[in-house]
Amino acid sequence: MSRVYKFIFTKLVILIITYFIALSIAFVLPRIVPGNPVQSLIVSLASGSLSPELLSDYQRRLVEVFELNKPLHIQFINFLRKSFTGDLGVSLQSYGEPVVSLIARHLPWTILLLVPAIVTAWFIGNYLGARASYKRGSIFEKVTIGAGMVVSQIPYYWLAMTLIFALAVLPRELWGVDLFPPGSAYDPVLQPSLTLEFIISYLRHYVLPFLSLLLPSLGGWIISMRVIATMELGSPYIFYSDTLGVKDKILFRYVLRNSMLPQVTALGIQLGFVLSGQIITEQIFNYQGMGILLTRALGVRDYPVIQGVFMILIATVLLANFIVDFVYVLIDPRIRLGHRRD
Amino acid sequence: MKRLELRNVRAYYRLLIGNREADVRAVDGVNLEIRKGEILGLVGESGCGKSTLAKVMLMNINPPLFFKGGTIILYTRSGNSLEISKLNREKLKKDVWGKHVAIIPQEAMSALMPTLKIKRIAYDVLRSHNPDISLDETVSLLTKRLKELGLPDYVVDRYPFELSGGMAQRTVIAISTLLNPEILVVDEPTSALDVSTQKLVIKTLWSLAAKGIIDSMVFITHDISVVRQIADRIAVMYAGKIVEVAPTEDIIFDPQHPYTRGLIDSIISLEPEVRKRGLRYIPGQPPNLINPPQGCRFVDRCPFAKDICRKKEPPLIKINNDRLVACWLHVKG
Amino acid sequence: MSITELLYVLFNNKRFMIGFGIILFQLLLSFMGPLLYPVDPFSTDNPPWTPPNEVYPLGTDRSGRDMLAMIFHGIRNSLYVGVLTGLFTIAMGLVVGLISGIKGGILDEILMAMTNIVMLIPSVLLAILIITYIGYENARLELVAFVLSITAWPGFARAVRSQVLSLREREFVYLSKIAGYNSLKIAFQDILPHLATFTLVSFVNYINLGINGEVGLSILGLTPMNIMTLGKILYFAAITQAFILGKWWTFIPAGLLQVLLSVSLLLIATGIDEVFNPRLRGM
Repeated sequence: MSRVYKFIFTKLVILIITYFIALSIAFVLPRIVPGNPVQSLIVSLASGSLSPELLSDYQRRLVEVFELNKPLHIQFINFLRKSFTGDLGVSLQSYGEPVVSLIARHLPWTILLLVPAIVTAWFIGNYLGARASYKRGSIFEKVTIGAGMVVSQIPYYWLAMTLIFALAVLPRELWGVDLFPPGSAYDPVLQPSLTLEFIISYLRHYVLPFLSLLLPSLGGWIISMRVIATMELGSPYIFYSDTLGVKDKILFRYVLRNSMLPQVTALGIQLGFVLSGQIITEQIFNYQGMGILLTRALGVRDYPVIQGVFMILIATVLLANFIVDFVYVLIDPRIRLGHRRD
Repeated sequence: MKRLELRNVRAYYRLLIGNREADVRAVDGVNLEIRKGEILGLVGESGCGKSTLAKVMLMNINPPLFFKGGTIILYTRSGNSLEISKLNREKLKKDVWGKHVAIIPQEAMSALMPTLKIKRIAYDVLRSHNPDISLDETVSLLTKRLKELGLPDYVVDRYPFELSGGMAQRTVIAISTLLNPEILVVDEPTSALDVSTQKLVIKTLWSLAAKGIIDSMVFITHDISVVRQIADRIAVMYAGKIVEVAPTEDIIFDPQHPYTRGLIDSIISLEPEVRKRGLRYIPGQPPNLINPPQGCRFVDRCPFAKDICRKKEPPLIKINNDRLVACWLHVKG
Repeated sequence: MSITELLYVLFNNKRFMIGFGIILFQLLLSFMGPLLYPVDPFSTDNPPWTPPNEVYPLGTDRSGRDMLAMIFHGIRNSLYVGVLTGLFTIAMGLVVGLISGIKGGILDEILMAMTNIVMLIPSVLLAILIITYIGYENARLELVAFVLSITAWPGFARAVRSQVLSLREREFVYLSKIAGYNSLKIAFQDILPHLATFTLVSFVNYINLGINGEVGLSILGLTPMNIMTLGKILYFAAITQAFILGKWWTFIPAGLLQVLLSVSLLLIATGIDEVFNPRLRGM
């Protein structure tokens, strides 16, 4: 059992180091901008349409946020302390609202969209991929793999645009039918609540962004699963069980089970990709999650918000990765019983 | 008398070289019979097609390997004869594999489904043939078989990776014989094991036959010193063909085919250290099986090659009461 | 096999040929297009939101930019970013992977820990942070490619390393070591040639990643404003809400071309893999 603890401990250490390095990047980058960073930021902001009062207010806050009047090591220590205590500063734009509360308002929408899309894509994609490799040479294989190849290459954002156009705009223009709403997470006249009306509105708004995240990811899983499952199918234990007359149904279960295991680890890596897709998807759907928060902040260069979103999203990805590793330990007896390191 | 009969059996690997297809004639016109109650050794150097022949005997043939022709007949305990080379996959799976013929593959460890416990693996085998069997019944059957083979019963609750190499090999033997098949095809069962474990595995195989769990066995190996411990008869394979079949002692002390002779000489005369690589000491290389020589396939390495050897393939003929050789030296006239 | 024989085999591979054909067609479009259809893709002198007609074969966007001209220039610049990303990624990955695999030891551990860490950080996020702070007003396509490869190289480096490790076990590398060749010589003479196919396939895949990544960053408004790319076209469509207004010609053709580009690159990669990697044949 101690090998298992070691495995988890190692993963935990990697996680902490990674987060620390991510934090350091977020700390170093604004400070390596040539010249006085605040001044150069202000200059670039001044070219925009901000009023002079707002500019000086920005300037004051920027100095405050980056603590540029203090020595570098103090800045770094304070930065670390603040980020671990959840003090991510205040937004330059949203009337000084703390970044943490801004994030708290946006994060749930992102997670509620992201997690089901990732999990559904994983299960369906892997099943189809394994099925396709099992039915080698069949029409089913050709169709599944062909579709998977194309769908996996469709960019999230373009799919999002096209889905809105085809399933929300076109039906209205052609037949006057409001099939799906073209954007937003729920009907803006409603307040988020647990009423039936709100939930229905939420679900109707959910379908298109969900599909736009699901499909490309699904295609990716089909393709990668097919390679893994084909390799498993050629392995000695399948031949042996086959030659003992073990039913095809059971053999397929063997292949599925063993090919799923490496895909669990891949799930952790995929997370980052889907999240990137999500950031853009939210912008196109005007879906009020972290992506929208980030793109809006990028537009007005609201640095504390950009930094805060960066840190929280990375922490989320790292945490999810850790959970995935943990699940892997639980489901693979070889690791659970300490016979393989990873 | 006969248990399994192979008549002119051919099976080729279809390869793509660049964009051209080519056939590797791994098993090319094999004639062989396995008798009731015997242990037949099948020897040859690696790449001669003996492992392919193992798959072909069971008719478990998957691309890129293709069955090209010939007849394989199985004679069951109940007295039926079954032409298994004519059966389709479903029928083989339902009626033949596991019930009448079973295999012990080269590497036992990788032959066991890695993420299931031994009892689950056995359960999946048994319920494929008998849907009504329960896991508990499986466990008691398996425990009984393990005991017969001298294995501890805790094995049933282990995962494959928790077993040692020798233990895994013997567990595979137990699982393969759960349905008491008439024929067991054993493919290089000892190549990955140390000498003392080898002995144990061979003893286990021996006791299978002695206890009547199985009836006949084909023991495939590249190592004559192993096979002479267990086999009643030995068949020597070279480049996709059987070149000599005879009782074990005759093969060891009086080999007739020049290849068999080379094989025996290289093992008997050299020190144990060199023995393992001994087969290399026949000068030259086995022929390319995509374009094998027109005549005898051993001709380029044979010290006694004659004109006819290059032109015509020697037939496998009976030269005395229980010995078959495929060599022009033994064809009279 | 000789080079000509290899090419013969490659050009007989169905997947490779389809992919190669599509790429060639798009390259032709991007280079011949601007010559045959000399319209400034940034010019706003045309009527806005014009659907495709005889004058504007693919219509115009809200500012009156000519879609066809945008696409011609877009494909070329997107391919440029893609190829550049591929080159950067392959270069970084090869260097790190080879060092890690050949030298081994503590250096290997450190480098692999580094790849582990970079792989965990979502690429778009890192790219956003870097471009935001470096200043995207003067960002150039080269910077975009560089930023994209910063997050892409670790995967390739790890793959190279594991290939090197398995190659190292082979006889010829062992012999070179006995012969006293230094690591650099071994890397170039013995190992690199064996990685050629794998590197080529990865290169094609990273071109694809670069093209896709550029569009992603463009949609977030993080790429140079004065250079037309496929991403920029979709960016304009996104900020003008063209898809909600039903102006399909401003994003459907550009997106389809991009999917086509990606699929053909994937086909090329699979084709090369099939031809050179016998295990995958007949799959």
